Amino acid sequence: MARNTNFTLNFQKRLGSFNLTVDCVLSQKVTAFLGASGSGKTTLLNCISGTLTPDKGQILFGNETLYDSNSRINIAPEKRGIGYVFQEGHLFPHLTVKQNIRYGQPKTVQRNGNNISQILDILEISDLLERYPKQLSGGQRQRVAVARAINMQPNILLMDEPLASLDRGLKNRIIPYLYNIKQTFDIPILYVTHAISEVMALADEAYIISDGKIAFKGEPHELLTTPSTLPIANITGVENILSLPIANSDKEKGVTALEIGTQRLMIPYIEPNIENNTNKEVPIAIRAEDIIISLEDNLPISARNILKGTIDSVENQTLVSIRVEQHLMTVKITPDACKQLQLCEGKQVYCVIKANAVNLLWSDP
Amino acid sequence: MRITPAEITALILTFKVAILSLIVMFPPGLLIGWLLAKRDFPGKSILNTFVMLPLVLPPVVSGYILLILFSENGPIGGLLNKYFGLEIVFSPVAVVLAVSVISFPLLVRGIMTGIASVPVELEKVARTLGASPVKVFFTITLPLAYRGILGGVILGFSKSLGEFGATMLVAGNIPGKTQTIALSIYSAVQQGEDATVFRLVFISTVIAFIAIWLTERFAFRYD
Repeated sequence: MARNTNFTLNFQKRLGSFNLTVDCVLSQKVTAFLGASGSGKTTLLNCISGTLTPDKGQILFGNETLYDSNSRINIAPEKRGIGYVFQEGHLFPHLTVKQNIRYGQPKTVQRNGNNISQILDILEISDLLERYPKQLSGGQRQRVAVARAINMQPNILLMDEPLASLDRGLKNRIIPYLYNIKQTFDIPILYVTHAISEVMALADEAYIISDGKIAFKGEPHELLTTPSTLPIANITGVENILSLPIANSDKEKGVTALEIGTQRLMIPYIEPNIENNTNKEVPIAIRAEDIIISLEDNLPISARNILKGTIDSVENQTLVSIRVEQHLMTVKITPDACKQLQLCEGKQVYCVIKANAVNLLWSDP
Repeated sequence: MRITPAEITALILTFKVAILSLIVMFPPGLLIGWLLAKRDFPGKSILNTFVMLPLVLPPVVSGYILLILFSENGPIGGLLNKYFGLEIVFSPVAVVLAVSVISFPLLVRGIMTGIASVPVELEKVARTLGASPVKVFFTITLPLAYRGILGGVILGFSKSLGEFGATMLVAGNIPGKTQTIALSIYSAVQQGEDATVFRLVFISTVIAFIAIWLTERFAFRYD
């Protein structure tokens, strides 16, 4: 039987006029907290890590009390065993990568048996050990920060928008590393973000935090299908995450076709994996505002994709859910466009998508 | 250019005093610099003012205050004399006292700037990585603040080497005992010993150049 790694969060914290109230038990491997900036995400993490003291309540890890206002327990941050990966990485500039990673390494024999070479291999930073942080790229720095946090053998890993400071392309390259971390190490992760794509790619359970309160709890895919979450998702930017098998790749034309039911979705060319050319699925993201709704399919335009679908629902005249084969796509439009096209449930429409608007989430080998 | 034994004595005394002052004042300088940079406490601005005062007061005023405090009948000097039989005023110890008080603000300023420049987030990360506040100070704060600290040390030390006004008042100008380079120059000018003046002015200028070069080279630079 695995040890009890449930994380019980039940506390309140007031900061000026802002009030954070949480009451939840995290039992999954990766729990994501999704929220816009100012929603209380960072306050939450600071309370858990102990750099900020809640006003009242309890924080428990398994049966271990980290904070309890009633019995006046407040374990110091350095004794909580909580790994914290910050948005900016915050590597120690005067130490090499190796020294950074070793900084929090426990002197005693490692509890979970995560040895350092395994961490370095998974994050592919073995060649960077002698470098200083300023000699690293943004993505490398973030990977080193993750390695440093894991190497302290934490009870739980807190990640505060670890990808937010990276540009889009880089983000998608780092996600697989985080995914491998999740698969390899037996460390629960609390992942805070405002990007739905990261939640979809990594999380087992998702919370939406809004205005200091938990507004939603459920599985990641529910974020896109539960109408009540859409307005919140809207703030943070809706992305359609799909995982589709490759139909064929044409190097000369520079496109790869993905199967979406009987239809085809063209994306920029990707190298087919030779070792693994079975029906491998490719995870992709399309932003809701990058999709155009058309009532006709015979359009003289450059966009490579005109996918037939049926409107599933229309939310606030701005978020339209369209069923394309077995997939649900969310499209963001203006109320004016909604009115003019007379969009309503059950109507047959076409989703116009540029090949270049499709982002590859990651290419897992 | 031939340096006379008397000038060598003054030179050695000057350096001895400056080094001793630095050794004595560095630990409290580090503590106060850290307090002023990182902590909020009642009386912080009073402490700050008190420490920085000698920087703006004319050195003779500081020297005069020290003279009053440490003279045989003064509140501090009286006690030292009564219980330890110590006579501070007009002794080499008074030189150390004078240069310490005058250079302390520069030392603290440098340390403060250095420590304040260390991002709080790095200290926070170190805490979550299991380091106690003391370990954080010695492994993160101090190494990252070293340029500022070094700057404070070099400037404070240079100030000690050249201090004149306060030393004159509280330690006098006794050749071989309390006469530093600055005081020697003063005496030599008074007595019209142009060759001595020239040599000592030359030495002082070289020291000043080295100090500024060291500061520019190693301290106060952030990259």
